[in-house]
Amino acid sequence: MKRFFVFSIFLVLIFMLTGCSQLMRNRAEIDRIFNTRIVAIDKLEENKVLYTISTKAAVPNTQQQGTIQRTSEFLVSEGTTVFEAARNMAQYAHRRPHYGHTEFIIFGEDTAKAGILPYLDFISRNQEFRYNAKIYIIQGYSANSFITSVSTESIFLADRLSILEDNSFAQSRSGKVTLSEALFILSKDNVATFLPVIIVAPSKEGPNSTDGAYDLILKSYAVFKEDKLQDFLNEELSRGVNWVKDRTQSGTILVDAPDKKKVSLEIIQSKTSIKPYMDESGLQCTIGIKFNTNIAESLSSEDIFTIEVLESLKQQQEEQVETEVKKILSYAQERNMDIFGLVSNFSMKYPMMKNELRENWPQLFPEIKFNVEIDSNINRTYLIKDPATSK
Amino acid sequence: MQQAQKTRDKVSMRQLVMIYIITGFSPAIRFLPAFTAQVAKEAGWISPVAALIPIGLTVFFLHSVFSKTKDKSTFEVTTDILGKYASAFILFIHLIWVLFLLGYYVRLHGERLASTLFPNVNMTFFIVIILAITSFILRSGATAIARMGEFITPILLLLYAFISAFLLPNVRADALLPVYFNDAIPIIKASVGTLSLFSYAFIIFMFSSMITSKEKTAIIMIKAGSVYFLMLIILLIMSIGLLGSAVTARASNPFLIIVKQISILDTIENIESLVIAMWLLSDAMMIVTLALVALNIMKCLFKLSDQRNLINILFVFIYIFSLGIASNRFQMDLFASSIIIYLNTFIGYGTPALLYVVGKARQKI
Repeated sequence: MKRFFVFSIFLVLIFMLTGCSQLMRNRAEIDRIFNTRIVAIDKLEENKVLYTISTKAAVPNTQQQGTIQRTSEFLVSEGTTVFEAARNMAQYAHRRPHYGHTEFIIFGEDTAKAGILPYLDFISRNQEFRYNAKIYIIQGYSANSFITSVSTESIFLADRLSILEDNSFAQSRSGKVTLSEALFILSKDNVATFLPVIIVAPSKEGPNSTDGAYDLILKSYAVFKEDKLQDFLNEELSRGVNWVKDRTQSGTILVDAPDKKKVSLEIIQSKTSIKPYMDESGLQCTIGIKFNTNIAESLSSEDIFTIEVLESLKQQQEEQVETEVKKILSYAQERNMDIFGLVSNFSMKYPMMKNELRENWPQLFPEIKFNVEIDSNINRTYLIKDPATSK
Repeated sequence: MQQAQKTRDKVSMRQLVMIYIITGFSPAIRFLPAFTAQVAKEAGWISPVAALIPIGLTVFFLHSVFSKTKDKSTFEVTTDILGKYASAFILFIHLIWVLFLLGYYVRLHGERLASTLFPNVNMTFFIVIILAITSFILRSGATAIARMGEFITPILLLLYAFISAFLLPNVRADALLPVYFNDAIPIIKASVGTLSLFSYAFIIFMFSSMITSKEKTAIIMIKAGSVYFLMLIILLIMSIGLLGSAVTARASNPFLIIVKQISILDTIENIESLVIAMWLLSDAMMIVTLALVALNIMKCLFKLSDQRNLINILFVFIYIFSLGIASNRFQMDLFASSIIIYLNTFIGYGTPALLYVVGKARQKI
């Protein structure tokens, strides 16, 4: 009887507690939740913050009864801090913003120049955000104008960013950086951060394009000193960053056949090793890159599969990669920005000196002598061997 | 009556150490990564190794004290070794300590849910629920609780292994290295965190008055200790290795942050509910264990025939105490890092050492 009584109380409680909206103030039915996928933050004048969130909503289709259509939805608000702006949003929002599914955090160029850490504080502190959300910088735009002008009815911005991210391997000129990685690098002294840059360009599909007049291009990286944007790297320098940081997945290298016609090589695999060392002349570092390519296209009508030609192609691809790497290394040293986190490599090699290295890194980094060693191989081609132009 | 009481209290050493593993999980994920990262930075992950010598010594002391006391309860053993009054004094100190820990852990349970999952919910709601559930569990007696522990431990370990398998491959070497001799002092300082977690080894012997297979104390404790030690090392490698020492030191619950990053083939995400289930289980077991220990000490000190009558009074006291122990989370954290870990270490390691030394001197062991 006693057990039955206790069981009954629990059973009654289970059904009654579902209506405890006063007790669980944060609770909301799923159709009343604004499942944020993009958060965009802009710094306004007078130290105000413009806070924009975006999601994909399902609304009744007015043209076809009984069906729903997907559309982009935004909420925008202003405040002195990000938190205040987020709460101000609640004054007019038709659904309760929820950040548990946020995939992208976007900063405009001006905000990035002023420093992103104050804005990341709210995001990293909030219990709903995930640290695997990706951070992007928009070149030439504010984050708000980017979201509102680029989103179209048929293609949702978060989906477009997702596709760009998936395809970024194709040229390895950019990549993804998560909130977790960004916070990790930003917490290190004397290490510069790089974040992927998106640019907005007129659509290549022309004015008749149904998906709006803009193309998004995941172009390169933006480099930061502490948390402030310093510069946008060009595509060559960005790929240099990926080579040194061992983030290259694939990409194209164009080389010349003996008849000066182009041959396209596809990067298949790559591995970078960084070997720091110290001698009487100071700090030295060998950056060794091993990569393999396949021949993806040949405009030459000659046979390029002879040992001599393959050797020449291999030499050309190695020279190109070496140039890319040397350019980014001298770029970083000229600006005294350790984008590669080399202070960690030296500290790991010489742990006894880690404190001295960390303290004196701004003086040491520009003086490092780099030695770049490239080793490559051309593995194979695909379905046909002879060029299409051969007779 | 006496026989029935004994049957309700019969617990094996194996079951006891399983309870120890479950109860140790929640404080470990809450406190250890942030504390070690604060003190030893990237070398924090290796700090549990520095705690091995005191832990090993304590296992040796406990084995020496308890292995030949087959049918005696912990209270009888301490009375044999220390004498009636000194034993009562030691037990009283432990009672105060355990009641204090009970209030602290109950409050932490509410605080943690309010700071990670339900920020707008009154923390009292969680405190009342956990106290209601644990007081209900307590009435079933030590044997039933030990069996529950035996059932929960493999599930908990399996879930932990599952989570670790997805997180460990993403660990960054530059977040964990370099570690060198010049890190020895910070590592030793950070090992206090691990020592504090292992400090409940003695009070677990007060879980029941009828513990079987005590002759295998050392081997069973070494086996369970190794599992728990491995859990701690993996926890620290994952937390510091994924977030970096600076972010880990700042985070109130680094383990939850890293688990929220798990994405299996970009399809299965949001598996932090597993961790929440694990810590709720662990919190409940911790509160049940400490409450049972407190009741057993009271039974012994005040010579009660059945301590179950005290459950309601005890839980009302804990409820009031848990709300009054601190005014906010920051005070709780300060309290933990500046008082509790040192008090835990002092009492948890001091008592077995005292029993061993006095027992040897008086030729009682």
